[in-house]
Amino acid sequence: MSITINNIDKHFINFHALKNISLTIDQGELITLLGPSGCGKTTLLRIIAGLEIADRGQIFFNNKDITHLKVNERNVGFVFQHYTLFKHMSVFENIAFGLRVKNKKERKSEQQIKEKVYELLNLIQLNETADRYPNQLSGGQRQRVALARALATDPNFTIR
Amino acid sequence: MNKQVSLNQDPRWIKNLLISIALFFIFLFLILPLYAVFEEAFRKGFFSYANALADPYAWSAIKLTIIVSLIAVLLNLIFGVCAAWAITKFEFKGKSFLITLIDLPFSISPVLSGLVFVLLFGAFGFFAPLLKAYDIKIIFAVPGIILVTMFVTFPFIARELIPLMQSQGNNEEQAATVLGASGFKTFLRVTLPNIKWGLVYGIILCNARAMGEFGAASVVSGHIRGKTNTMPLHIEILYSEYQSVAAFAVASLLTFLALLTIVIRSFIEWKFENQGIRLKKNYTKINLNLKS
Repeated sequence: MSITINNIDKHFINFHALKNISLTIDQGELITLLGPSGCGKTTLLRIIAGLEIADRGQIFFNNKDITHLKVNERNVGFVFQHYTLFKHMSVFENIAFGLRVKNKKERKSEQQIKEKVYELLNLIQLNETADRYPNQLSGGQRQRVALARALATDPNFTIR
Repeated sequence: MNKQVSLNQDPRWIKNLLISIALFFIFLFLILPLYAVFEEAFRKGFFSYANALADPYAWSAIKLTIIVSLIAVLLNLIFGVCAAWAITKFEFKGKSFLITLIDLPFSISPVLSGLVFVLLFGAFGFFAPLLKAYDIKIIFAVPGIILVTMFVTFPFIARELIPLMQSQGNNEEQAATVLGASGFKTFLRVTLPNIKWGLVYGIILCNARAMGEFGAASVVSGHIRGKTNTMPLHIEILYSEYQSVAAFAVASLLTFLALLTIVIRSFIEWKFENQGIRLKKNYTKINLNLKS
């Protein structure tokens, strides 16, 4: 999966957040955006994920224009700054969410979902917290759950 | 709670005095009238109490009240969720105006609300030719009562949900859509569970108000016994005919409903506390509106 960003522009009312940004990220590459607060790092990531709409410019995934593709059709793993776990769901259900909301054709069986969730819980080494709720976790644990949740749907890439 | 008491430096007698004053007023304005209702209802014994409730007119008033509030609450539920959703999840012009508009029924006298609907749907009203052509009766009929009840209870659910949903923001909804959930699934699996108790609370308040509505219903009902009399209207008629036992018997049913509302309400508040969601600010707002 490669991501190409072409001449992205973004205004917030009277603030010019992104000025003509272009960037290419190749398959397997790990990219870190660095800069002072309010310089537009998150805005760019949110535009890539589809949570914000750019005023101008295009985004390509594997040379396919996805500028106008909806958020829920982009299959992007996104770990939010404040993790934003679902308060009313256990850790297990949080991680399973992305698998459960798929439409009937693509949805895995309950057994497969369970296997996938435990595989991810193993990865983040939080097996014993499966039945806990987000407010019973420490900050670091929450972050790991948020990562596991983002990875559950086998996204094309993850944003953190 | 204990911490607050120990931090309070006021002398003990001030605390006791304030508590006694509060209790005295509660006794005078809540307990005593409550007692009076049941005392009067059972004055001639249980038999005449049961007789009063078994009266076919009383029975049809009870039925009508239930039907009216069911419909009003259901429609206001749909509207309330839509309005709260629109206001909290989208940005648009005139948003604060819309919020003010939703509050309007709170600030209008119920009698006036009733008259507005007479002006619209009455025999000489705005829609009169249309209604005549299709032979639809609204004023002095059940649809009119449903309409005014809806109008009067219009803000309850939306008003309950808006501050709650505003405080929750839409971060969890965004997380859900990034994970691939459609708008409807996001609502069902993320938004609804988060607003569940606020919603139940709004429904209870809305229902209590709908069942007790007198002023507006009185204007549009026409007081036809067995047809367009709701419980509050029926009580008033019985009372003005000096059938005070019968009047208070029906009133005791409404009172019982109010008590039930309080019990369910405290249960929900307790549930809220357990979930760590605090809505106190919002509660007082609604309560103030109820009193005015």
